[in-house]
Amino acid sequence: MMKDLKLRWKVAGTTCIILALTVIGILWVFAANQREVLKAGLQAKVSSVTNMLCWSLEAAVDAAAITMQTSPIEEVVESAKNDKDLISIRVEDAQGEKLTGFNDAELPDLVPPRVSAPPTIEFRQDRLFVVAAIAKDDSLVGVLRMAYSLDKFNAEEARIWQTGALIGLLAFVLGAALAFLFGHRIARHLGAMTSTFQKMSEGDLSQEPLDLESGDEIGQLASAFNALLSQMRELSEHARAISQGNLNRPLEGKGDLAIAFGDMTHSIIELTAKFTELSELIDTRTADILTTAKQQESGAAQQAATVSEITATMEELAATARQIANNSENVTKAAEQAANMVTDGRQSLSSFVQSMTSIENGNRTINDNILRLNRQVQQIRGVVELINDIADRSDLLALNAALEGTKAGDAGKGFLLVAAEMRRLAENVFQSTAEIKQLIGEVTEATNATVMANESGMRATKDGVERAGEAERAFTLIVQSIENTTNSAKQISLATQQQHTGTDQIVAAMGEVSGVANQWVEGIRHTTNSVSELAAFTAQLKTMVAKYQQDAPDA
Amino acid sequence: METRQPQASPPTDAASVSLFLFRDGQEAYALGSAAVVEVITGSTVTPVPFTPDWMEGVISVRGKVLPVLDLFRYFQLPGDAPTQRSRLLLLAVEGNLFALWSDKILGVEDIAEAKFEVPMDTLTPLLRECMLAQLRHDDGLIFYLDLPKLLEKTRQQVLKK
Repeated sequence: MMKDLKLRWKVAGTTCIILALTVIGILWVFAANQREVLKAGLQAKVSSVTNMLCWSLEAAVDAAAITMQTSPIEEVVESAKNDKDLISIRVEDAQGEKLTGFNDAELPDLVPPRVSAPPTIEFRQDRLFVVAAIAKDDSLVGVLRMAYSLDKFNAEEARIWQTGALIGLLAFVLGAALAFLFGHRIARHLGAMTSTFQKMSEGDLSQEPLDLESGDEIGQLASAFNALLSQMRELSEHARAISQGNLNRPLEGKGDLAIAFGDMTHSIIELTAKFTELSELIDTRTADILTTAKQQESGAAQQAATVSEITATMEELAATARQIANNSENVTKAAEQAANMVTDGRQSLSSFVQSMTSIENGNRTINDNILRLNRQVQQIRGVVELINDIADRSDLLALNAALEGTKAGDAGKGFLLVAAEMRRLAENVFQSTAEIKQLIGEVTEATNATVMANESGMRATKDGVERAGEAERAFTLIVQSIENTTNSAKQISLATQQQHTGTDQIVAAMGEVSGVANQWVEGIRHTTNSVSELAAFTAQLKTMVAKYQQDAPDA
Repeated sequence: METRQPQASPPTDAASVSLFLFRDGQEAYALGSAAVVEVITGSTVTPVPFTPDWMEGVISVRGKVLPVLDLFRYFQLPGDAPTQRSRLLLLAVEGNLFALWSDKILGVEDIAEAKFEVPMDTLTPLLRECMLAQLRHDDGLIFYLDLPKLLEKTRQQVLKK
């Protein structure tokens, strides 16, 4: 229940309770104290009056015991009756016999005190009873009993109570009012702050600052609150500026929050820079991915085209395989024909080899003959040289003979003519031998040429025989090859059948590959679209970041 | 092979000289046929040290040693040196025997003195000094050598050396 009460009522109630308790306590203590003071004063008065009366009555009572006269005692009692408060009085002798008294019927029988002891005083309701011993020379002579009215005392006490209650009430009312007032004031300011706080907590910072010029805690609180509000506004303004891209706005204010805000701004600047780098990177990467995706797309399209080409090629291959099967049958037939032809060729070759051998023998004979001829020609040359030498000597002899004839003068003239004739003969011989030499040279050249031609012919026939041997070996190889070819053609026929099956499977597989390639193309298209969207998104990001970028001081 | 017609003309009253005609290299020479002792086939020539280069060496013929002269070198003729030399002419001049090289003997002929001509001015002085005359022939220009003069000249040159 206390929770639901407003502050002012809490303060007022608490203050009221405290005040009430305080007032009651003070009143209680004050009244009791006052009563004790009054009682003490009364006791002192009564005690002194009693002592005086005792001293006055000492002689009279002592005398009365002897004389039995009570008049002096009555005089004293009469004087004592001047006191208005004295209600009853009785004087007794030592044995307790009444000597005199006044209105003493209701006096209680209190035990008298000892000699020289102070009188016994007892408060009973609205009466004060006193008992005192009257002594002479330390011996009891009588007892004095009195009763006083307490009306005045009680009236005084009541008056004190009334005054205290009145003062307490006044204090209570005043205190409660003040408490309420202060409580109200605090509560009012707190309420204003509360509503402002509530609006602030709802995000509304457009509050007027609290107008409080008081110097107390409330005022301090209000000014602190105003400072908080202005700082919040500053930060809000700063945040708005950041949100609008202005990162250069100077931040006023101190404290952890401002530092944190400043750090946050720096972080945003760095983040922006990094973000720009990242978006550039993403841009480049997306461009790369796009390029790659386009290349892949074209590659996939190429692949699809290639797959269809391969399929077509495979079908062609199947057709070719059928052709190959036909061809291999043809090859088998042709090989059989070739085998027959090779048999014929081998027969022809052996007859060719025989012919070549006979040619070689003939050539050898020719060569021997020519060599013999050549030797004979050389012999002829030696003979011709001899003839030539003889002619030369004849010429010289004729010349010397002519000289001798000249020296003989006219007698040698005939001799001179003979010598001249001899010289002419020798000259003719020279001429003839020269012609013979020339002929011999020609013959030698011709025989040499024939020998060389014959040798080359022999080499050719030898080569021919060797070639024929090679041809025979080749024919053997050809026969083997033909057998191999026949076997291979059969194997080819078998293999082409398998190939046909294989090509069918490949065509089917190519169909699947084509499907996969189409799916791939579709996937790449999706990728391209996604990357294009990503590129657009990155472009947006870049423009957003560029807003910060322009304003950022060090970006 | 060269054919040669023998000189068929008989001796006449007009003065004529019997000359021995031969060829050495490009040049043809004539000598008085009386000086020619013999013609032999070429034999080995032995070189003699400390002699002029035209003095080719010496040969030995029937126990006699003869010097061999090279006319081509002696007259310092232009052109290539003769290479086909096959005959040696053995000459006797005033009792001195020596030999000359020839690559072809043209023969012995009687030449009329009227055919002799004065040597041309264009010939070398040494050749002109050693010539009696020049004469024209079927084989071209022939130098008619003055053998005693040639002998004397060579001797002088050898002595001078």
